[in-house]
Amino acid sequence: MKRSDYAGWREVFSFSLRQEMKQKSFRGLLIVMCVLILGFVPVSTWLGQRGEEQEKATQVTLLTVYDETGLGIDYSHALEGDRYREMQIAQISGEGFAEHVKALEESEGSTEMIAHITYEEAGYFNLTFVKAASAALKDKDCDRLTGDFESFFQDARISAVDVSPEQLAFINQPVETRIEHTTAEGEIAPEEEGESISMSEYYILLAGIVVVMLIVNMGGGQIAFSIVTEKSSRVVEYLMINVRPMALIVGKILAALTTVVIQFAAYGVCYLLSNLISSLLFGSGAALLGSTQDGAQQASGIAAMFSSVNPGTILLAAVMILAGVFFYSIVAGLAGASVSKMEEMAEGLKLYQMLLMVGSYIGIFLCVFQIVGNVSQVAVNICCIIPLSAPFVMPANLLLGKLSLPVALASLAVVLLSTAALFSFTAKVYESMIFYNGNVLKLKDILQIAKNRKLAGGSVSRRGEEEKHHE
Amino acid sequence: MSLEVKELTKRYGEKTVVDGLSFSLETPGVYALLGTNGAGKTTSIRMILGMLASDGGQVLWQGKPLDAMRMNVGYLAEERGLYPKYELMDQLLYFAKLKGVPKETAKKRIAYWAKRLEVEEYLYPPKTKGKKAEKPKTADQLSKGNQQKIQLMAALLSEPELLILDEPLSGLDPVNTDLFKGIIREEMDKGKYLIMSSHQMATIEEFCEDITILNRGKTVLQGDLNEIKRGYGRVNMFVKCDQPFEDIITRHSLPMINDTPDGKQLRVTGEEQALAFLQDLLREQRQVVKFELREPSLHEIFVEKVGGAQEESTDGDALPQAENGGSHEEK
Repeated sequence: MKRSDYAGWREVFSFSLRQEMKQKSFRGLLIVMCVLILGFVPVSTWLGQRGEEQEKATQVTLLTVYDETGLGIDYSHALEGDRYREMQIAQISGEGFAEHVKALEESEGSTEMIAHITYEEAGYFNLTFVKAASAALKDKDCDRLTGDFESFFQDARISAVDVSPEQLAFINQPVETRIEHTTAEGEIAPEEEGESISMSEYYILLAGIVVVMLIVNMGGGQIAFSIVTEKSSRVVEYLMINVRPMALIVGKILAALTTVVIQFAAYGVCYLLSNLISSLLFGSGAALLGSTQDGAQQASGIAAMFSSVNPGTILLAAVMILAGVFFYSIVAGLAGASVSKMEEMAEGLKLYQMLLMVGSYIGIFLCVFQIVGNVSQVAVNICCIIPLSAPFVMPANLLLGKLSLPVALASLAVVLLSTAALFSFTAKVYESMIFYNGNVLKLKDILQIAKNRKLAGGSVSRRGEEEKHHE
Repeated sequence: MSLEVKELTKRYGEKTVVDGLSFSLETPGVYALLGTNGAGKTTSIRMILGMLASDGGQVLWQGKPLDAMRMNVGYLAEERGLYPKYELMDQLLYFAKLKGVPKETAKKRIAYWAKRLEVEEYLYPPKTKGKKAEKPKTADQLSKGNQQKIQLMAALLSEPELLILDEPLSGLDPVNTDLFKGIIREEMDKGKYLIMSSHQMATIEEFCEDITILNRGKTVLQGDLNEIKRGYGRVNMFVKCDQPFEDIITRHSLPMINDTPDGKQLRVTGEEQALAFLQDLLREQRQVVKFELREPSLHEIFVEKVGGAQEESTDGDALPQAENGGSHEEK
């Protein structure tokens, strides 16, 4: 491949980029997404704060406890804190639960709840909470109250048999169960790498796959559409006297890539602006994460997950995503060149879509196996070495610290080499395909073109073209 | 010698679609590449332009291999193509940029050609006072003829040294045909080299001195058109009389090519046979309204050469073989 093979790519790039950005669909999508992102954080924060305010104090004004267990638990301090400051707890040891329930049914807009605690013969404690059908109480409020009450009861029933607070804390320690296996030497085998991931990590890995797939698909789809347009409108005939096919495809890939980068950069800026707007409206501490206690915990949890992130890993992940976009864009370019008519585009893109699906599905299945804990590190490494799946798997795994640096580097090297090989193959067949005007070319036809070209010593030749070629 | 095509060959699998095409343009002017559909004209043009790799042969410009990307070549493809949804001005500026024409120069040339080809309204939407300016036109909003004009503009924007026009007049109405012809003539006057393929033989006769006729990839006739015609001799006789003269035709055993209200077209072997026929008409006092003896038209030569090669048979109506038709070549 000579340097002159790429002459003119800049012109192709600037024209393709400008035209793509002038498209109404591009502008429309960008504006809609930016508006949505700009509004997302302030609206979420506002809703969060509103919900929090609503949750600050329970709407339940009276909780009457009927305890028939005989444990002698004192419920006067069962529910404490700001949330239950305005609520009263009445404890009744004797009977009267049924009558009280009946009276509650007759009341309109009641804010009272009744708790009925029994020990059943079957051998379990039963906590029943009742509110009026017309009660002015939200389910979420009641759920939280019953949850807090149950927590108190769990501790209280143990304390009732003379267990000290220290003993109680000890008893409440979490229990972890593991099954180990022995080695040939009769010792317990060391723990294998690739233990299961947390739910948050699972979501991050899955989100990573979705984001990469979005980027790849946006770029690939744009390139395929552009090539089919040029072929079906015959513009390619004019372009070919000014630029070589590879310059054409390189210019288009870079333009598609730039479009995607512009889109995501705009979304990123909008997200930052959204946080800024949220801070201005709801105070400096208000952001989507960190505005609530739970949010703060989540934020610190996410930060802990990305503790192994450094500029190097970020760069590696970014380069891998770009390499992935390049790889799939070339496949999309080939798929686009195999089609002559716009109406056959869907059929022509099947190969590209199939490969994209295979790559992303490997990533998704790996994620599922990772959360089940049924996958070893070797499997993760293999998925990172397969060129089809590496762009989907490697970036998020690397950022989460699930991948060692040598494996990440090897993964990137494999994808770059595969991209270069695919590029070289495309260079051989693209010229023949770009003038092809027959039915959609299948994979075996494309391979045949490459084979014929090799046999013809570099000249262009392909099976069946003479009948289909327009003269 | 400026453009030289030597033994250009193209094969698709077992089939040879262009078989050793050779010709040259020594001086500025128009060279005609003729042939039926599928004869190999477009494939030849694509190989000359370097769009398609050849399986043999050479294309030289000023003695060096022609590289369309390095030299200034204009090309109007047979299969017209513009981006359907992009603005015309954007497309023309893009094509000019690919040819290395600076933006400002391109804009001036676009303005000139838009006026010359009468497409200003599509490139420069009129602004009506008090109304919102019209949006610039896209290719799919134009008629086929106007799209063809825009493409011719694209081919001419770089002021090319070599202009290749593949079927430039197909699909044009008479007014636009004249407009295109005028531009081709202008380019000839500027001393440009042109290669033109066309099915319109009258147009080729109007512009071209040298021709090549291709049939199934092979050159069946090549050379200076006037010499080729001279080689055939004046064998077309057009006669119209007030009285019937079929009996004299039968007596002279002359093949009838055409019988129209405007007269009969007969094939003669030469001027002597024509003169003998005329003498008989006059001797038998037939009122001769029209008598014309001329060389065969390019159309007739083309049909004879291509039709004959396709059928691989000759009959009595066929033109006599040229005696000294330039580099007249039968392969």
